[in-house]
Amino acid sequence: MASEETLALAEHYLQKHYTPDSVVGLGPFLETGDYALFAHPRARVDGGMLFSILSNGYVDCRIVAQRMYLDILAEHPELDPRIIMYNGGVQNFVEITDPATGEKIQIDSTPWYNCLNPGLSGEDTTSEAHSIDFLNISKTKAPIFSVKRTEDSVTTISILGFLPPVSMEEKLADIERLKEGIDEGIVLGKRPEYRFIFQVETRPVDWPAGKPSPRFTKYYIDVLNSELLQSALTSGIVSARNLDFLI
Amino acid sequence: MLSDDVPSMNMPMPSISFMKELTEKMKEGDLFAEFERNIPRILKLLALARPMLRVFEQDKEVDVKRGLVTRSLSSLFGVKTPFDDGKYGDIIKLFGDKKPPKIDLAKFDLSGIKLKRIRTG
Repeated sequence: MASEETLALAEHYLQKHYTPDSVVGLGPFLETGDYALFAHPRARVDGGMLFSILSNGYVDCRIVAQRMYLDILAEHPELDPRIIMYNGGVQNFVEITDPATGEKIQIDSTPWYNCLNPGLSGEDTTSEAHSIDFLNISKTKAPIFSVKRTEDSVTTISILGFLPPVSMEEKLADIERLKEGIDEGIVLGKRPEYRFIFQVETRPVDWPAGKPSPRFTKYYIDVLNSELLQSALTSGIVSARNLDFLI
Repeated sequence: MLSDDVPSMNMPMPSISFMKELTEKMKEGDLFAEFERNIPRILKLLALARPMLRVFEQDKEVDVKRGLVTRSLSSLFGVKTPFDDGKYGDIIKLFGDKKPPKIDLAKFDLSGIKLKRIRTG
């Protein structure tokens, strides 16, 4: 059992670093931040993209945890704060140890949990907090686009973006044509230039940590002609109202 | 977390309108409402999609109309891969495709191809 003093400190840092859903994710950052979209160096192979963050203001669960870690380390190093890693990524929460009893307490100030001891797991580490200067957007890595918390549920949108995916057979057939010197005049199928995939999922606020979300769906936006889209955006033809008719 | 069940390019992709209708039929309207709330932000994201996209920390650009179709074999493998010894299995890993290819790579003459390594970010 943790001491009252340590529990009070944990509660203090939980409240101090409370992060509202309105500031979390790529979506809010798009409204005010400075950014750019790049092809990943592996883009020709897997279609991955990199979203470059050129200014402060981007917030995700890693940043919430890292800020809290640095804060506790500066003010109460006796709590032995740790950043928790799982599967190569920083977890939502910071773990501390009660110096009197040795009990571990997890502090999570993100919109997903916003509580003590959310039941998440991972490998504790005292690694220094890292700044984030780009987001990897690929088949297997999906940055948070937005999160919305209500009294009884949390809805999260994640984004996957691709340069057009091509089948294994097509890739190798292209290589064969290139080897034979028939580079020009390759007739491509109707591939979109870009594909942005948004996964929307919702779960009750008391949903067990790590358990797959009970309700989710995906939305696809295929950009067939990015040049035309840019022209339409510049001229104001495309708006949120008619987006679904133009792409 | 997200799965890899991205539909094949051979399948017709539904439009957003269709997906909205489908979602409503599935009584998942609140999921679409959250997506719809973000459409102004998504427009900002779409404004970044250009015909040519520069490769991160490199001067070269990717012609996204060509997508994954490469101009040369060396450019295809001009990434950090375990492909230096030309092992067939490594190519499968590189493409992340469990389905075996129909083309026999052994017939490709790789002797004249200069492989290069670049940062993978």
